[in-house]
Amino acid sequence: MEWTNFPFFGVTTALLWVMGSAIVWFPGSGRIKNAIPHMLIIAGIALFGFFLAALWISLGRAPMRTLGETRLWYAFFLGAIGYIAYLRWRYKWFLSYSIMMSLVFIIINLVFPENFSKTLVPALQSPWFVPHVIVYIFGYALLGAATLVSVKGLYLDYFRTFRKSLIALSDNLVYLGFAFLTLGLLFGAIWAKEAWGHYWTWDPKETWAFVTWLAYLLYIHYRHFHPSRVRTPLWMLSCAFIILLIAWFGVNYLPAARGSIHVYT
Amino acid sequence: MSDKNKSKVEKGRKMWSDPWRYRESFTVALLLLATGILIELVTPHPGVTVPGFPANMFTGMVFITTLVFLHLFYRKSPLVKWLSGVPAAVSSITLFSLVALLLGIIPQRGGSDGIFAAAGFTHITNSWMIVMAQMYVLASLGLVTLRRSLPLNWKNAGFLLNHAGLWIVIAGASLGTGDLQRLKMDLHKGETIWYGYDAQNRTYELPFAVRLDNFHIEEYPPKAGIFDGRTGRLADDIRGDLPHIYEGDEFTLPGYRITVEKFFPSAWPDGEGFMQSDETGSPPAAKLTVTSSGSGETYSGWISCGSFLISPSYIMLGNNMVLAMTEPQTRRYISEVRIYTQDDEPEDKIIEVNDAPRVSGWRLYQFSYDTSRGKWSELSILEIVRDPWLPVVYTGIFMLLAGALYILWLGKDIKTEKSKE
Ligand code: HEM
Repeated sequence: MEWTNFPFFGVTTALLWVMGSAIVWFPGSGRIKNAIPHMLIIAGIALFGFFLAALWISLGRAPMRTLGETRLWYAFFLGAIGYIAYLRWRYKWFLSYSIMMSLVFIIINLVFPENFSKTLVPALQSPWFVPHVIVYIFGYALLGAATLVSVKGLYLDYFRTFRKSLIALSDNLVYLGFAFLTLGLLFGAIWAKEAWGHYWTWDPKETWAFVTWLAYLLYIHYRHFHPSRVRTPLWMLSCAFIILLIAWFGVNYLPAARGSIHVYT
Repeated sequence: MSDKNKSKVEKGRKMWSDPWRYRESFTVALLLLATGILIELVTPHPGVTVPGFPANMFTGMVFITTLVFLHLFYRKSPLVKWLSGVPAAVSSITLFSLVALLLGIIPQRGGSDGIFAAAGFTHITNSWMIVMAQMYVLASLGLVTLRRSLPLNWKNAGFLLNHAGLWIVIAGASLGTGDLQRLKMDLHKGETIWYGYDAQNRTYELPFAVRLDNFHIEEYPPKAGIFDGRTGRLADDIRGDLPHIYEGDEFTLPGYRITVEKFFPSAWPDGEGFMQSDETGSPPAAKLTVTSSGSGETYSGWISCGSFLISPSYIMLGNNMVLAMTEPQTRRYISEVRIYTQDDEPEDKIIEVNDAPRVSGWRLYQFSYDTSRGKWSELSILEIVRDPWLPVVYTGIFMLLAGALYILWLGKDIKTEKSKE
């Protein structure tokens, strides 16, 4: 199996997933109508998984070295996790959202195949690199969605048409996103131990990631204690996302970040 | 009572009357912060030095015993109730966030002076501020863990994993710094070294010795690019990644078609060109044929990025532009070492980035080398780390990982169960 086979596997998987996640939304029920999306999505996961496994075997190493290769895993896990979450909670929007995210990565790999040969500095050549980045991206995606909900919530609250179901939705997104953030933080710590000798050095990137994590922790506890208050937690969510954005892109520009080992420009 | 009424009561209520809520909690947080700054100002020695074993262990035991004692005998007291409640949790997490935020904004450098430094703001990671914030979090988190996780049962599992896990990580990591040792070892090829040195250049004898047999660097193939010969800058019309040079390959750069006739990863100048060589200081070199797509003109020649012994070679393209080779990027740094311990046979090991072997309670990390000689370095610098508290911290980390999976699985249900109550 080689990269030249990717267009076939990438496009077929994308088609299967798009059809599967679209049919979920169609009206009507019945055993066949209900089974079709599952079959399509599972077929896509199996096909993509087969491609990854075959590529792994033919390369003789984990296909996790180059940026293009990491995007393959993003695409695969986004699809798979979206499906698992759908099995668990029946969130149609979540399935569609993850599949859309996954398509972005498949399309990037189809359009920019020249990135496949990109080199990776030795510190990034770690088995923790891929899971660390994947869960973080996934967490960010969910918390980004939670922020959209919070902004909509603040807007509706301003016009006094706020509905409770909205904050329930943002709670769910935050719980899921926060769990992924926790996984990302911890994978990062384990990786840092393997690569740099210590799991936590209060490097600016680490510090900001930690503050982001605490900000969502505050939201979870505040909501738990005051289930009927909405305005404060909605504001908390918006602020938390600003911290998240600083942790993600902004750190590179902070005076405290000069000499950070995690700033790759 | 609805939340609205609660907050009315909150407004009319006297400060410090039971039960303490947000106003009191945040006041406590601010007082703790001020106390931290004050201690820092009045003590001559900047920051906190966590004591080593057994004092750090003892400190931890006293803290845990106190929390358990409070939980067992004073559970109903207003103070314990408050500390194990959400307002204290929210304010302690906020205080911790605030201190971490300062750490993320203020550049940290040891040894600076002025009131700002004396108050601890330039060494926050070991300041009394962070100690205060951590103690507040640990007290609140510890008491709620005891209150909510006991008696142990499946319903409490998620709560226990997350809260006890975090408690163990924070406590273990802070107390563990007392026993954490990070040293450097300079290994010159052929020499056997049995000591390391710390940031202050103090040397420490080690329970093992290391001999460097070989150090080498594996590289990616070099890349070709068009540069302005006067400034050394990449030509403006080049987009994206530069092409790697492989023998027999053909590629284009704006305005030119290029064929790689020959490529030697390691070569020595020979008359007009280069020949394959394994001499120290042999750079990579490639023979290229360049065809201008405008005029159809063809040049041919050698390019090389040079080394500490050989100067670079380019192909002139006219207009002050040159076709040149970039220095190859590193794929791996590898130290081949022989390790001698007191009890076992000597063992040959490979040390590279992301692959640090374990020896007698230490881990050996590839850290640096003689950069002026690049891949012909005869020196390899290791960073060696001993962290006896790591198993404690990892226990907490794995509890948190399990706790995160629990949230992923149960996410929403934590809420629905609560609201059903
Ligand atoms: C890994 C980090 C944490 C996670 C994932 C987490 C999660 C949760 C969740 C989901 C709840 C409510 C659900 C339930 O009652 O079972 C809760 C309650 C609570 N948490 Fe945390 N928490 C974390 C850290 C903390 C910290 C650092 C503190 C204190 C400083 C804290 C204090 C509390 C308190 C006081 C409650 C309310 C317990 C009650 O009385 O019902 N938590 N936490």
